[in-house]
Amino acid sequence: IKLGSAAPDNSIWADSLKELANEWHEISDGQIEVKIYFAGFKDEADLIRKMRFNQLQAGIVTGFGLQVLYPNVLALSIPFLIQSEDEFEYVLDEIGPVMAEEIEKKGFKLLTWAKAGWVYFYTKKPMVSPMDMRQMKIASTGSEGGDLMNALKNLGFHPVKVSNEEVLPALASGMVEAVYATPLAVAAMQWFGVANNMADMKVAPFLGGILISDRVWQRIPEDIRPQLMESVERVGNQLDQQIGELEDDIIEQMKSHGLRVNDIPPEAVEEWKALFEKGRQQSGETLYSEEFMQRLEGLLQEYRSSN
Amino acid sequence: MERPLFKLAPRSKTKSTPESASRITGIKGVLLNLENGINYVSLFLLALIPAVEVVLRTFFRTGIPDSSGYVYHLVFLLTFLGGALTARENRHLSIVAGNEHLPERWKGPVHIINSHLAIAILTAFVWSSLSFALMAFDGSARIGIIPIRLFILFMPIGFAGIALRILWLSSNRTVPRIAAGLGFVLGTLLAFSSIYNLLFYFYPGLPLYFDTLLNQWFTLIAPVSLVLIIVLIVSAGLGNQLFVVLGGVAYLLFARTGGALESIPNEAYTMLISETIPVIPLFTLAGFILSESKAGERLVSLFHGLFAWIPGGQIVAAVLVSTFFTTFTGASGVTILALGGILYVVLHKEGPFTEKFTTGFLTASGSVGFLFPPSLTIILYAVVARISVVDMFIGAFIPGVIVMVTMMMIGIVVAYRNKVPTSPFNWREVRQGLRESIWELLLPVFIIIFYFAGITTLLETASLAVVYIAVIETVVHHDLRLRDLPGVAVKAIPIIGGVLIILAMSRGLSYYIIDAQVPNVLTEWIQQNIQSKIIFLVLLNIVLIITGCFMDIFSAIMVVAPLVIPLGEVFGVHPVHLGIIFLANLELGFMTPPVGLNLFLSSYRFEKPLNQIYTNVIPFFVLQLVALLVITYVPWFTTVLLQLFG
Ligand code: NA
Ligand code: NA
Repeated sequence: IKLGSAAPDNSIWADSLKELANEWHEISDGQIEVKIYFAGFKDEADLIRKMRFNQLQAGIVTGFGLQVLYPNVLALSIPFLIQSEDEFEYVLDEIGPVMAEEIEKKGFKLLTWAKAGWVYFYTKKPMVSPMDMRQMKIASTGSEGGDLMNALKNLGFHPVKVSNEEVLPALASGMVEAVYATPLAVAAMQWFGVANNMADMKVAPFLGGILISDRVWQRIPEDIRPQLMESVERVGNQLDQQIGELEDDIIEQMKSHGLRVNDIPPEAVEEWKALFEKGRQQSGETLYSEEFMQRLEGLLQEYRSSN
Repeated sequence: MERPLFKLAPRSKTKSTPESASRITGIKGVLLNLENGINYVSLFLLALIPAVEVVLRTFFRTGIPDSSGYVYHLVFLLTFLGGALTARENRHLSIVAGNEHLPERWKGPVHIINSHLAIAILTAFVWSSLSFALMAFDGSARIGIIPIRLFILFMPIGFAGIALRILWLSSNRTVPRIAAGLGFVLGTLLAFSSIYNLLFYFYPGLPLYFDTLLNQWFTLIAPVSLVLIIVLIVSAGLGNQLFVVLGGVAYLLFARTGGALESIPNEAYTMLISETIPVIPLFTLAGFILSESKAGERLVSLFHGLFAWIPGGQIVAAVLVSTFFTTFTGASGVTILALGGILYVVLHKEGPFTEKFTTGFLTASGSVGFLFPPSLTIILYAVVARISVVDMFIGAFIPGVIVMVTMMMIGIVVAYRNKVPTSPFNWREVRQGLRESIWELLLPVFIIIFYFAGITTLLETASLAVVYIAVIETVVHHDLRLRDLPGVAVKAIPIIGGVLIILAMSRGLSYYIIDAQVPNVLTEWIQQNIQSKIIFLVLLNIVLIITGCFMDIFSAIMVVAPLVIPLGEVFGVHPVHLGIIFLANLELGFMTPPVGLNLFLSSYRFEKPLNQIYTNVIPFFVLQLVALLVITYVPWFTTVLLQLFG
């Protein structure tokens, strides 16, 4: 089995993946050999394509890859929809299996979900309120589809579409002045070198998962599949626990390289939330199915009213 | 003074005259016009969409939904349909031009064998790209309103078109033509696993018999493809088309090792769908519009006035212009495309330099400038290596100057040695030249302003450059009429198709190398067997030069750099210095065969066979190699400014 990993080599994720490969090798009495590739694909869409025509058989991907198979996955990352780790967990427990089922219909078995961290705003000048943000051009890398970009436009922001590799020069030249991404991405791409203000306000959670192509899964003897699943789930849990630590770690590291983390007063946070809430109600047709959105919002209400 | 700056490529004597759509009537004429039409419209849209996007964004704060998706996929379409047009004009590149060096009685048979092989490989590509279109994408996936699969379909159509044209040009007689045509059968056999995938897609209840057949095919294909790989490589030396050989070898390597044959089309797709690739067709088009107008003559007279008083002054000017373009486009060879024609006139036709020197020099200077800010390559490397971009820029400055000055010195030395006459500075000539070519001179100024002020992306800048030049040459100078523009575009398309298809098809090979985990094995070996820093640096230079033979600089940064960086740490090489060594090394890769973008571009631009370009570039390669060695073994050049400003 060739597994492509969107998580970089030399990260704690890589170690967990290698552990997983060893466990599978043992469980299957040496029948299954997992080779991990950290390079060899341009982006997650490429990784998914390679799985589709069986050049790769498994992959660890984030929402960017998952949305190719099931666009609704990114609905979980709509800004300020899900607002805390607990909410995220609650929603994922309920809706995760539903999403896995949809992904399975595309010929992929979802072995486990894995959290990929929280999205924050990074800006060149300090930013607190939506009013501040309206003065800035925001980089939209387009991997999340045109939806968010339209939503931002409707809310009076100025998103500018740039490719991932162009964000840094665009920030430097002033073509854009703000980005939104997870700390891991911002550190890896060095965006924080220019956009060195981080707003200490969780914008949205980001989701990942480990996939295996259904064709391959079906060929694995049925009697060892539960053991394999167990092993993946354990590694998945381990990853979920590590992600928080890793994120804190990376933010600390970026701070020592000049990143400023700015507090956002509670009333400003409320303003942000209300604004996007309003935006959600106004927005017409989206990439995400209406049924899914209702389910999602229903779950959140359920959770909030019981806590 | 009316003289054409450019003739279109002289068609090789052994080949039939190309078909001109206007002269052929009936069904065939309609089809040819349709082919020209689709190509032209695609290029036209490609040039306009980003420009329109800029206008909409700047003045109306809005944009075209998914415009970059359209642009990327138009480039994809142009690669393969343009490639078919390149085949129509028989202008795909091969390492040697035709087979003139062979004894007369061998020529016919060798040509038939080459055609047979090319048709076989192209047929295999047709099947695997069809299967790629169905397997890799959802039927519902769209770019804007157009299904992705529709775009992908132009890949098998293009390959089929090329194969048919090769068949058509293979021979006038029936028997040899049938022999070449049997390539369709061989290609179909080579593509069995893709055909199996196609059948399985349409009839999931495929009888088990096919599975057995597939297994037998896999055992059989291993030895067969090994033989074919050798035959293909030999055929490259006998004039077979380069993109067929590169793509074919990668294809057969995947077939041999049980990999997915769809990998080759997928790598082509992945390579072409990018923000930087569209810059190549756009600057090619801008270059063609410039060279079809009289801009060249205007600039030549200005340069003459400005630099004729320095021996080799033209060279200094050419290096500056070239560095400038590469630096801010981050795309090598832009100068060759956009200004190669004009500089060729300045240096050779109007200037003192031989043709051999001029073509070699322009090929080599095509990639000078990667080390200056805001070069995209430096930024990418810094990102991958997780070091500060600013540090990289500071560290790269002196090495960049070394490479640049090396190229300038060549010109001055050659001019001195040949006692090239200088003429006194002529202020009147300069003033008149400035007045006449002010609009063309403003182009780089506008480009800088737009790109650096953050008004436009690189792609948009390239698009604006095309629009600007088109307006200047038609409306301001009246050198061209508006209705001449389609003709200019159709001249540029075979070159665009020819270059892009080689880039696309060579990607399969670098992916194979990654898939086989060759780089990892190499780094492990080095870690175990090397202790000395100097030996490590020597090996690094060698390995990177070999890498540069096959990989472009961007792939190398993404794939090879992550392996080299930890090694550099082990041997105590300063991270910025390592980065400069890496980039300077891969800059050389643009002029090393078999995959060297500058070589391809020069071969097209100066209408010379590739092997001649190889020879002409050697002295310049050697000099830049010396510059590289200085940069590598004297880290001071990199670190001194870092200590001052870092
Ligand atoms: Na250049
Ligand atoms: Na090369």
